[in-house]
Amino acid sequence: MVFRNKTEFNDFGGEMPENESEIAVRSHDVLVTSGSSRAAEFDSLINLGAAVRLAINLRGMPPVRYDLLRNVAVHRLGLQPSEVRPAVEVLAEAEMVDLSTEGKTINTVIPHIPFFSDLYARLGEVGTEGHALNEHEQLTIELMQRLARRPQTRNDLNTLGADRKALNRVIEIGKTIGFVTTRRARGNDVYISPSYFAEDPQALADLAVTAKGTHLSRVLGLLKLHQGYPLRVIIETSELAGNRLDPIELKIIQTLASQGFLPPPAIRTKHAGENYFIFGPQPGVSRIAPNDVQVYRNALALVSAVRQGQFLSREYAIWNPQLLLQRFKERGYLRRNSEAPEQYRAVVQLGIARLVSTGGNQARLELIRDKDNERTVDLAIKLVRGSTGQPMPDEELMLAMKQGEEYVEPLLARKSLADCDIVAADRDSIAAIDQFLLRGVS
Amino acid sequence: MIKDRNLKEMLYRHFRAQGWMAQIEVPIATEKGVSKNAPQVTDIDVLGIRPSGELKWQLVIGDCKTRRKESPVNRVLWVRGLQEAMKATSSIVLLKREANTSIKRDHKLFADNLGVLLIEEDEFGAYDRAIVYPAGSSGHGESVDAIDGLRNDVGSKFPALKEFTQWVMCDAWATIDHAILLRRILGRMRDVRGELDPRRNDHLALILEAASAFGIPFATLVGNVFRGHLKPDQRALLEDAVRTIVWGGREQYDFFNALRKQLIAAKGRDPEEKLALPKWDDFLELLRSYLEAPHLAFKTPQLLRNVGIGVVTGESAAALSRIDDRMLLHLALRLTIYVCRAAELPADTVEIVKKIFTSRIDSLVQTSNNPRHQNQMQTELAMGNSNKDFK
Repeated sequence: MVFRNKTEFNDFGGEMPENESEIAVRSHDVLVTSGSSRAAEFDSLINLGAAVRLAINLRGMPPVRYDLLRNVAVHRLGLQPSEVRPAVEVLAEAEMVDLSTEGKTINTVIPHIPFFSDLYARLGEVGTEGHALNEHEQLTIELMQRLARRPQTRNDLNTLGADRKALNRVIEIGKTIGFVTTRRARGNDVYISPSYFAEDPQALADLAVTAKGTHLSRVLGLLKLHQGYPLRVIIETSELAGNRLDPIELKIIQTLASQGFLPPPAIRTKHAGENYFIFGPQPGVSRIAPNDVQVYRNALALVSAVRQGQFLSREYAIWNPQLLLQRFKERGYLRRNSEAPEQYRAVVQLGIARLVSTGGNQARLELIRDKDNERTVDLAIKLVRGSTGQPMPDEELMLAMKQGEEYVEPLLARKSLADCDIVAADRDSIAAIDQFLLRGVS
Repeated sequence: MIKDRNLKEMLYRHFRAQGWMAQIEVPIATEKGVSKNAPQVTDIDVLGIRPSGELKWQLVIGDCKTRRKESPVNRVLWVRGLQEAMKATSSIVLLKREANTSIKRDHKLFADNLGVLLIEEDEFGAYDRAIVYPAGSSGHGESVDAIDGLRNDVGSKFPALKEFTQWVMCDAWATIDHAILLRRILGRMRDVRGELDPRRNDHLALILEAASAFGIPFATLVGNVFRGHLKPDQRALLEDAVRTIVWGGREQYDFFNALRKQLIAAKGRDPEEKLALPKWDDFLELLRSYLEAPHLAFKTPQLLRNVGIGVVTGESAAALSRIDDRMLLHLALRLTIYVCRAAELPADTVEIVKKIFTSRIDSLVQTSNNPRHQNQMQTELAMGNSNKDFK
């Protein structure tokens, strides 16, 4: 069944995502978590997801040969060969690339992907214009939208009001190709997306059953916006960045911190003892490239150190952590401070910066300038500002593409052939195919 | 007709061959004078604008004199004054001398201490070949005649464009305040948008020349933003920084914004948006793109001058073929497109400009930086040679 518009889908019982931006972001997440697997039901959704994936990685790029881009897209970004051209055409339609062509052959792609205007909204608008999402795709988008907020129990999903058969099929596809995982917790099925919650899905499933959905959703939302606050301060004040927390929500935060799926970094100082800093769940594979996981963890350590100075300083409190980190990145150092040695110990141990003694008990924190450390500071700034949850480009690949083909080819050589698994059709489809073959044969 | 043409040609080529921007006969007038039409104070024979390592422009004043009895040291003192007035980094005084009236060595040392190179026409060839090693700049593609031709021909054939041509190719270059210059170029272009026909090569060259002139204050802005904020990924941060710079400070911006608001309100309408440059979103995107490689902003005006003169002399393909940097070409194209859209030039201007640049970008992307292609070419060459040997 294909719905021509949002009203039709809502009449059917579904809740279409409110904006095109949401559709584009979720399509991207489905594509990335699916790896090389594809479902026959997905068409426009994969095209759109592929266009978003290309756009994110083409931002700020010089003009590039189409066949090189195709290789990069297939071997590095996980697109299937036949998906690249439609994705590039969506980008061209959205006026985000110019194409130099000879007849129907694309020679060169000249990207001008916007930095500030909402590329997701624009791609969502273009990608669904004239290629309406089918029933399964729409349900998938809505499912992903819900899973991005918190894990869902079967009862939660029943409130979608969607056709049971279609919902079961979408979940089956999701489990097979990887954008949904299921856990049994306290006798319930709990659905989690690895795209949004990378750490310990079993513990999260348990929490999703024990905590009331809206409380968990609110806590996870607040933690994403206010990253790295000291647990002690949250518990003592019963609030997080000015947002009042009720006892259930405080309990959820304590559980999140203690059950091992949000392992909080800790800092020990003589004046404030040992303190834990709590972050939103680590984003999954569609948000962080595997080689960036360490950068992410380093950024958590840096943010914790800065939050320590903001909330638990002995004498000199940090009044604007974002500005402080910005200055740290620009100047390459933080002014000398007697609290620095204890506050930034973990940052030094991780090789992000060094402490230079300036006499007495004072030390200056100096950034060790390299690509990863600069990205660590960038990511820390983003975390302090409040996670936007936007997917990150593959920095290694972007750098290689900027430098030229000889840098790209070694990256591509790591994988020579693209795989494609097709998800087995559902029973009804198999029956229909058999029927078609039988009738064709007769 | 250019006075002291040969000397100016030598200096112009010398500057351009080093990758600098240059302009001939730039009139200097008092910017904040009392007269309605400020009289010209003097003019700079050849003004060189070169990029510094700190992402800033540096001015170099070129002074040429063929009057054989001109006192060299007096000329040095005069040019030093001009250097101060223009906040220039250095100067070159190029003089034609009579036999047995060579410049005294002590006068040269005196000039050098003041940041002025004092040199005779006869010595300049050796100097030029040493700086632009080894061939010198005499073979550099552009001539002052092409610049002068564009400036005078468009002005005389199209009187409505005369003032704009004179301004963008001469007067504008004396504006030291690049924030004012950035705004004025767009304003002046919008004044003449109804006169420009991009299907004419001379008009297209003038458009590219205007984009080139715009590229100079734009590069200053890129350097300024980069030094202060590196590569902001928040629109609000970049917007705030740029607004303040472009309008000459927060206070001035607030004043202009309030004034604009009152003027629009007086006409019975509600100002929907804040005061900003035309196509503000595009401007911010363009600026952000340049922040990925800010040094390229300091190469863009030179490239656009090259292509503009190439268009009018029928050698744009040759001019572009000397550029091997696809990112530079890409950004220069985007800057030109921005200028065309912000000035509301005829819609086909963008397509015409794209066509010029895209063919070079395409050929560069297809051939350069492609080891397989290079290997293939080398193999083909080797085979061609061996076949020849065999025959």
